[in-house]
Amino acid sequence: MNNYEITVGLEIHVELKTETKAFCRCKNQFGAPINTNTCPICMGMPGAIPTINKTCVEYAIKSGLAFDCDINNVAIFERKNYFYPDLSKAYQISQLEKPICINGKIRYKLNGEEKFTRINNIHMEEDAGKSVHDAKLNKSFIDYNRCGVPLIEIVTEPDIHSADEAVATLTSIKETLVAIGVSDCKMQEGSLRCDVNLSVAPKGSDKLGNRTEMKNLNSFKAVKRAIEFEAQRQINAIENGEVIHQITLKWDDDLGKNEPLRSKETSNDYRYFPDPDLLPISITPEYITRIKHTMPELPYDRKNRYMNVFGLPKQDAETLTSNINVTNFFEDCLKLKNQPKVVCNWICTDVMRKLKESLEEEPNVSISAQNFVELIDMFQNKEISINSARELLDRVWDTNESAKQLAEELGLKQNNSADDAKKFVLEAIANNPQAVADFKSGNQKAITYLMGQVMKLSKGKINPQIATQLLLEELK
Amino acid sequence: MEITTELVEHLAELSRIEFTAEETENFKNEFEKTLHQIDMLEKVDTNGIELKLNLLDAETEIKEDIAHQSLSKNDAIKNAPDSFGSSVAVPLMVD
Amino acid sequence: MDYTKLSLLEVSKKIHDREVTSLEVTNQIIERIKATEKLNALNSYNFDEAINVAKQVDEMLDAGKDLPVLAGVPIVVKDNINVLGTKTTCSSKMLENYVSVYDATVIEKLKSQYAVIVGKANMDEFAMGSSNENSAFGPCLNPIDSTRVPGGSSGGSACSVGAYQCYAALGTDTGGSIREPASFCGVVGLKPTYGRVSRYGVVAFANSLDQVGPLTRTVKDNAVMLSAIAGYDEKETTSANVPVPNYLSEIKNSIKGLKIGIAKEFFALGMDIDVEIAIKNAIEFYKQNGAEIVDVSLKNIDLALSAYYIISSAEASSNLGRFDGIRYGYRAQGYKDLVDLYVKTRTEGFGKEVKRRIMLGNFVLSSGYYDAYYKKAKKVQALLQKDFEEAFKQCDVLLSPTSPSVAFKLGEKSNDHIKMYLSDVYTVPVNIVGSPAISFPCGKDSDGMPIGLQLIGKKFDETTLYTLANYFEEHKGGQNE
Repeated sequence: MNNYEITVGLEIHVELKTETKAFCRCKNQFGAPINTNTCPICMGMPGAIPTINKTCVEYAIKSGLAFDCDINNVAIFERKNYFYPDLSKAYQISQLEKPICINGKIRYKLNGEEKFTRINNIHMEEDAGKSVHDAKLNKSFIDYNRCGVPLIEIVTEPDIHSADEAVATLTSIKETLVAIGVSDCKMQEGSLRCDVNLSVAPKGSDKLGNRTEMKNLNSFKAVKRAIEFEAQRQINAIENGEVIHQITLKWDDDLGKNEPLRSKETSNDYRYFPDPDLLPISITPEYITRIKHTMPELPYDRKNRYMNVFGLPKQDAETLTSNINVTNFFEDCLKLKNQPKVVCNWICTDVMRKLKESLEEEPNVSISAQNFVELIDMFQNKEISINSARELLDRVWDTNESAKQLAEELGLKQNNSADDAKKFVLEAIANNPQAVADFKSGNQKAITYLMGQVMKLSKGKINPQIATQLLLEELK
Repeated sequence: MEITTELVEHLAELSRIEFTAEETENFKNEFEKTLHQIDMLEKVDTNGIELKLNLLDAETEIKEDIAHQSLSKNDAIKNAPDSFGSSVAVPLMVD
Repeated sequence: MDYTKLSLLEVSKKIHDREVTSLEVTNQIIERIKATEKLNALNSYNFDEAINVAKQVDEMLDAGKDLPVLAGVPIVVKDNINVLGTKTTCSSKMLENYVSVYDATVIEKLKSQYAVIVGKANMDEFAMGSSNENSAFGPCLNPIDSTRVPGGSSGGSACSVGAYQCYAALGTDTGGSIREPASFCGVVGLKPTYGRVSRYGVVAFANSLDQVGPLTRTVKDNAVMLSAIAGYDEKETTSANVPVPNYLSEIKNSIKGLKIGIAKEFFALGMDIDVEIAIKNAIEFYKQNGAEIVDVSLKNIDLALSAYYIISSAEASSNLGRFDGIRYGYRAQGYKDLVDLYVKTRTEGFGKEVKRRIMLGNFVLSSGYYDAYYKKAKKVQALLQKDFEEAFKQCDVLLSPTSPSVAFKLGEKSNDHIKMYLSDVYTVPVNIVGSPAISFPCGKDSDGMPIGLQLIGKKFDETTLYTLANYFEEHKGGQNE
C-alpha cells in the first residue's frame, strides 16, 4: 500500500430540500404513498413540458457560494438521453457545458492539518424514480414520486488521496449544506449519495492509473471501507501484472467487497444537447448578492469564531459544530446565558453524553435551551450539586419538565447552610475514629473517605465545598 | 460520408429499434441519400456565428416553489400496460 | 337548412341569435362526419361529450347569457393534442389506446369558451410527414379528389375543414404541417409566431419549431380562432409574454402601401407550372391593388431544408424516447427481458418514417457528429434568421407558393422520402426562423386542385398576414369559387 498513491475523485448527489420538484410543481416529499406526487411532466407523459423551480436555482447558487465557487452568469440545461424504466422521459435534464457553479473548495481539517478538496463543478439535475425488485416474480416495481426531485451534483477534482480524506470531505459537505439549509444530507434516506472514482499509481509517478467507478455507497463508513478495499484490489491486480479496466463496480457493504455491475452498459453516448423546452437562465451579480445576504454562517467559519472569539478549545468547537442540532442548541443557550465557556463545557460533557446514548445518526437535543440554562444557573448558584444536576438532566431529558420544579419536588436542592454541614461533619468524625486517626497520621486518602461519609449522612444534600472546608478545619 | 453497417447497427441500438438484415441494408442506402442532402451544410462558413439557443430571445422564467395538485395515483398509472398496486410494473431490472 | 357549409362566424352568429340551436348544428355535423367517413379524416369521435356541451350552450344562451364567439361551434382537434378523456394517438400504434389524463392549454382555452369538440383528427404519425400517408390508421384522403393526399402532417385537420365536418380545426406545424395540407385541401391555415400559442399538452415533435395553429375555410374565421387559442402560458417556458390582439377587428380593409417581398432565391427552388402561374397572378393582383412589390434576398435559403431535418430529427429522437412501453402506450408481447421489451415495443410500435427520423436524430446528436451536424445546423439557423431580419427591413411580408405542387396522388411520393422532404422547401424556413405564416387558396390547377399562396410575416405580426389574405379572399374569392 505504501508504494502506491491512491487518487480519488468524488461525485456527490445531493437532494435539495425544496417544496416542489425541479421541473414541475409536484411535492418534493420523502416517504409519500407510491405514485401520489406525480403529474404529466414528471411521469413523462406525451405533451408535458418542464419549467424550472426558483428555489432549486437559489439553493444551487447558495451551495456554490458556500464552497467559494464561481457562479456562471448563465446556466443552460441539457438533456442526457438514455433508457431506463425509472427515467420517465428517457432523458435526464442536467447540465454539461455551462454548469451553474465552477471551481471552488471543500475545506476540512484532518489530524490537525487544514486541507481542501477542489470542486470542478456543481450542476443542477433531476432525480429518477425508485424501483424495488422482486426476483421471484421476475418483476420490478417503480414509484415515480422521486422522479424529478431536484439534485445538485458536486464533482470534485481528483485531490483526495486517502479514505480519511474522502470521509472528511464528505463530512464537510454535509455540515455545510445542512447549515445553509439546502438539504438534509441523510445518506440513509438517499438525500446524499456518493460515487467514488479511484485509481492507483506507483508513488512518484506523474501519470494516473485507470480509474474505476464505485456506486451503492450508503454511509460514510461504507465510503471508507469501499475506498480501502478498492485501492487494495487495484494494487493487488497491478502487482499480479493485470490491467485495470475502466469499469463500474457496485459496493456490497454487508460482504465488504465490490463486484462489476452486471448490466451491460450498452452505450455511454448520452447525446447531450441543450434542452429546447428550457431557456438559458441569466444569473446577474445582483441576484447573487441577494442570495449571499441570506446565507447563514458556514460551519468552518463558525468553528473558527468559536475558537477565536469565544476562546473555546478546538476539540470543543468541533463538537459544537459537528451536529447542527447541537450548534443551534448552543446558539440558543447563548441567547439566554452569554457565557460561552460555561455553556460549552456543560454541552460537551453532559449533553454529548446524552446524545451518544441515542441510536440516531443525528440525534436531537431533547431539552429546551431555557430548561438547560436554568439547570446551569442552579448549579452556578450552588442550589444543586453536580451530581444532582446530572440526575436532573437525565430525568428531564426526554420530558423537558422544568428542572427547577423537579429539583424542588425531589428535594434535590442543595443545602448551603454551614451549620447543617458542621453537624454532619462532626457526626462523621465521631463515627469514624479510625479514618480520623489515619488522616492525622498522614494518609490523605482518608479525607475522601470521610467526605464520602459526610455526603452519605446528609444524603448528598449539603454543599460539598463547604463540608470539605469544615472537615479540614475540624481535623486540624 | 460513408455509412457502414456498424454505424447503422450502433444507431439502432441507441434508438432501441431492431432492423432485419434487409432493412439494415435499405436503411444504409436511404441514410446515405439523406446525409448527402444535409452534408451541404458543411460547406457553409459559419465562423463567428453565435448559436441561438431559442427563438424567443428571452430568458427563462423561473417558477415559484409552490405545490400544485398532482395527478391521482389512479390517473398516474391508468395507462400503464402492467401495474402492481400503485406501482408501474416492468420485467426485473438487473443492475 | 344545411348549416354545415357556413363559415364559423356565420354559424356562430346564427346560434347566438338563436336562429338555430347548437345542438341542431352539432347533429348536422355529426351526420356529415358519418357521411364522409371514407375520407378517414378522424381517428376518434367525441360525439357524446360534444352533444353535452352543445346542450349546455343552448341552455346558457336561452337564459340570455353572453357567450364567446366559439360557444356552441363544432371544432376538430389534431390527434397529437391532449384532450382529457379522449384517445390521443398521434396516429401511431404506440399510442393507439392511450387516454389523455389532462387537457392541453389550448384545449383548456377552447373549453372555457364552450367550443364543441367533435373529434380527433388523423395525421402523419407523430407529425412526421407531408401527406398523411404515414398514419397507423390508414391515410386520410383529399376532400376534393379522394385519389390524392390531403397533405400532412395535419391532413385530417385540413380535410375535416375542407369536407365541412367542422368549422375549424386545430393542427400543428413544425415544417409546414398546417400550411401544406391547407394548400392541398383548399382551406386557410396559419402557423403562428413561435411562442404565440402554448405548446403545453401538445405531443412534441421538435420543441423549438412546433406551433399549434387554426385551419378554417375563411381568413376571418382563422383570425377568430387564433385570438381564442393564443396567449402566454406560464406552464410553458418558451411561451411568449406578448398581449393577444383581437385579430378579427385588427384586419384592415386596405392594403395600400404594404410591402410584399419576393425573394429570388426562394423562387429558384422550383415549382410546377400551374403553381407558378397562380402565384404570379396573385403578385399582380396585389400590385394592382396598392401593395408594393419589393425584390429581396434570402441568400442562404437553400440551406433551410437540411438545417430543418437535422434540428427536428435531433429533438424528435429525444422526445420520442419516452415511448417505451413502460408507463403508458403500446407494450409488445412475448419479450424475454427488459431490454427485449424496449426493442420489441419500439420496433413494433413505430412506423417507418418515425424510425427513420429517430435514427437520423440519434446520428446527428451522437458523439463525433454533434459538432458537424447539430451545432452546425443551429449556426445555420442563426444565419437564416439574420437573412430574414434583413429582408424584413425592406418589406412587411414575404410571398411564396406554399408548396411546389398541388396535392399529389396517393403513393406517388411515399416510396421516395427525399422527394417527400423536398415538398417542404417553402414552408420549412419559416419554422426555422420562428416567423408566422399563412397559407390560403389563390387559384386552381387544370384538374381543379387548389393552389396555396404563402405569406410570411414579421414576428408577432399575424395581423398583416390576415389583412393581406383577407383582402385577396374578399376580392378574388376564397375556397368556394
